[in-house]
Amino acid sequence: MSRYVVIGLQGGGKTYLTKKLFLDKEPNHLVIDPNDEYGDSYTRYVPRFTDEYEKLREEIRYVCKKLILPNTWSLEQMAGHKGKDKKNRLKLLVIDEADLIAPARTNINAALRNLVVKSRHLRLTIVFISRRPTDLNAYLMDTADYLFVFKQVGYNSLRVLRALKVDSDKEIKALDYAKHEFLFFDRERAYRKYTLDTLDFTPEP
Amino acid sequence: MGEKFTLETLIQDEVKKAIDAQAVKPSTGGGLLDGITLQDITKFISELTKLKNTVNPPQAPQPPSPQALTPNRPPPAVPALNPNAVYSGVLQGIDMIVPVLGDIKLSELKTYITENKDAVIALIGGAMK
Repeated sequence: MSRYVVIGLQGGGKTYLTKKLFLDKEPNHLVIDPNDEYGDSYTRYVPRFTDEYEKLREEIRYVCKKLILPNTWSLEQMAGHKGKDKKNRLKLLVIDEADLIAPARTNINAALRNLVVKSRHLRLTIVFISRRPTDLNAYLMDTADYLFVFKQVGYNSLRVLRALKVDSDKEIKALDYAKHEFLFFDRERAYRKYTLDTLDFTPEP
Repeated sequence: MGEKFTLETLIQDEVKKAIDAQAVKPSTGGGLLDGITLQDITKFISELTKLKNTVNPPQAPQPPSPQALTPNRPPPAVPALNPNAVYSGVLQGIDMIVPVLGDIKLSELKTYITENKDAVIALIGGAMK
């Protein structure tokens, strides 16, 4: 039921991490997959208007209303049905290229914000994936419970990450791209370097 | 095996739902009757008939007016009297007259019956019920 942000350059390992750590462990998932790259093993929605922000905003609003929310089952709904859970309810939402849907320096998509705000009530884990922290809406960075940050090199990206935790920018710049090293930030923004093999972390159910 | 959704599949699904919903409730021609099904109308008529029967119980069909259908038809025959009923009626009538007039002669009785025709007929009618 937590919210995660995964940041990394192309080929850095963020999609692989998302699959291994989240998607492969939770069959009741949905991936917003703008690049149509996750393959048939995963349940995904491929947006149509990836090159038009305003139309994409409307499309995502529609997807939230027609596909995401109808498949969730909130705590309130469960209480109203004598504690009965919904079979195959949506438990995990992964939004790849999240900066397309929630770009930096813009008002966040209201439907998406609504999902984030209600995620605990909906018992929905949400994972936002972006290449650079500078591209992603600050609201998602600030409200994330956990962050996975792969190697970054751009000055502005490192500056944003330094704001996340002082001196983390140096560690991020020093990460080994080939070994797919990343920093894992917890709720307190304490961080430590891992690879997928050394990370001992299981997402909350 | 996952499933792939697109805007087209979502819209198709919405359209299908709308068509299915329309199929369940066939169009009644619009206007004030929008949303009212044939079943609703049938039920309404059935309830109306029940109400009508409660207020005005159904009666045996009246014979058609003879004048309307057969103008030259003769008037219906007067039903034949039952001799036993007349006999009993006369006896009971006498029993009711004697306490009033006394044991009088038949000629005097005839005079009384002639002069008080309505009262006597009423007595006989009451005796025959």
